[in-house]
Amino acid sequence: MRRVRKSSPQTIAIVLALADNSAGWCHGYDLCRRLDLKAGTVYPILMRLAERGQVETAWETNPPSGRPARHLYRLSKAGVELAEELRQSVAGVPRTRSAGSQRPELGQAM
Amino acid sequence: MPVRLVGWVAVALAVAVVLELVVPPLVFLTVPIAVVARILVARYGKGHQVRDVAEMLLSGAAALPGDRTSSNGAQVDWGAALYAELASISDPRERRRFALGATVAMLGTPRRLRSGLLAAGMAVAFAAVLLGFSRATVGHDGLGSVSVLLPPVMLFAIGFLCAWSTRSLQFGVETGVLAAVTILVAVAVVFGIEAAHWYDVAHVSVFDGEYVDFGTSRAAVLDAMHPVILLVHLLFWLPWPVLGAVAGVRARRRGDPSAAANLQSMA
Repeated sequence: MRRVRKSSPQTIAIVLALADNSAGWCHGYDLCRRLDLKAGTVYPILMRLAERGQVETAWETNPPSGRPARHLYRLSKAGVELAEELRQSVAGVPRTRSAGSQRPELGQAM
Repeated sequence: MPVRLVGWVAVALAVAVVLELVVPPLVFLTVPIAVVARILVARYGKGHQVRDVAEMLLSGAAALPGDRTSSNGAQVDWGAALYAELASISDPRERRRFALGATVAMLGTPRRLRSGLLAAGMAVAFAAVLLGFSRATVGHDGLGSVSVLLPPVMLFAIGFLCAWSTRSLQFGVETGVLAAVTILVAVAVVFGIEAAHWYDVAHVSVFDGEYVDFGTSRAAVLDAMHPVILLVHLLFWLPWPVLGAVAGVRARRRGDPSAAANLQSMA
C-alpha cells in the first residue's frame, strides 16, 4: 500500500495557485502576495516541490535592465497530477472544524 | 570508502606537517579568511552596493546556501533566486518583510540530520586520533600542532565531499561548520583529559609540551581548556569548510555543462 503524505494547507494553496496558472510561469513573490503567505512559508515549499520534480523552475530570459533575472515556477506534469489529487481531496473533505474551515477557503482563494 | 578515508587522513597528515613547517601562523590564519570574504563578495556583492537593511539581511543569508538539485537534475540557486526577487520589490516595508521570510527559508535546511551525524562521526574520529597521538607522545611536543592543523584539512575534505556529492554549497558549508564545532568539543574533552595526564606524568603543558608548574592537575586542565585557546582553534578552522564546499560545488559544476551554462548566464 502506497504511503500518502498529507499536504499542508499552505502546500495545497501553492500547488493550486500554480495549477490555476498552468499556462505560464509564476514569480515567488507574486505567490506570496496572492496567497497572503510569507516568503519563509512559500519558498521552502517551492524548494521541496522542485526537489520532488513537481515544480519546474526557470530564470527570466529578458529581464528589464538594471534588475537581475527573476526565478519562475510552474507545475510539472507530476505537479499537475498532484494538483488534481489535491483538488479532489479538498472537494471531498467533510466540513470538520479543522479541515472544513480552512481548505476550501484556500482553494477558493485562487 | 575506508580506503578513501585512509587516503584523506594520510593527505591530511602530510599537508599538516608541511603547513606547520613552511607557513607562518598569521598567514595560515588570515589567508583563508580573506579568500572566503573574497568569494562571498564576488558571489553577491559584485556590481552594486547594498541598498538597505533588507538587502543586507538577505545577502548574508543568501551567501551561505547554494544550489539544490531538483529531481530532474537541474540546479536551482535559491540564494540568487531570492536575491533577484527582492530586487523586484520597491516598497521598503515589503522588502524587509520579504527579506525576513526569505532568510528563514534559506536557513531552514532539509539535511540537518545527515549533517549532524557526519559532524559527530568526524568529531569522534578526530578525538580518537588525538587521544592516540597524545598517549603515544606524552611529555613531548604537545598536541597543539595536531589539534590546530589537522582539522582544517579534514574540514576542507568534508566540505568538499558534501558539496560535491549533493551539488549543494549549503550542505557542504553547514556540515563543515557543524563539524568544526563538534571537533572543537572533542578537542576540549581530549585536552581536558590529557592535560591532567601530561601534568601528572611530565609536568608539561598538553598544548605545547613546555614545562609548567600549575601546582595541581586541575589547574593544568583549566589552562588547557582555556576559552582563548579553543577560540583560536575555531578561528583557524572555520574558513576551511567554506573553501572546501566552494571547491566541491565548482568541481561538480565543471563536469556538468548545463549547470556551468546556468552559472555563466547569471554572472
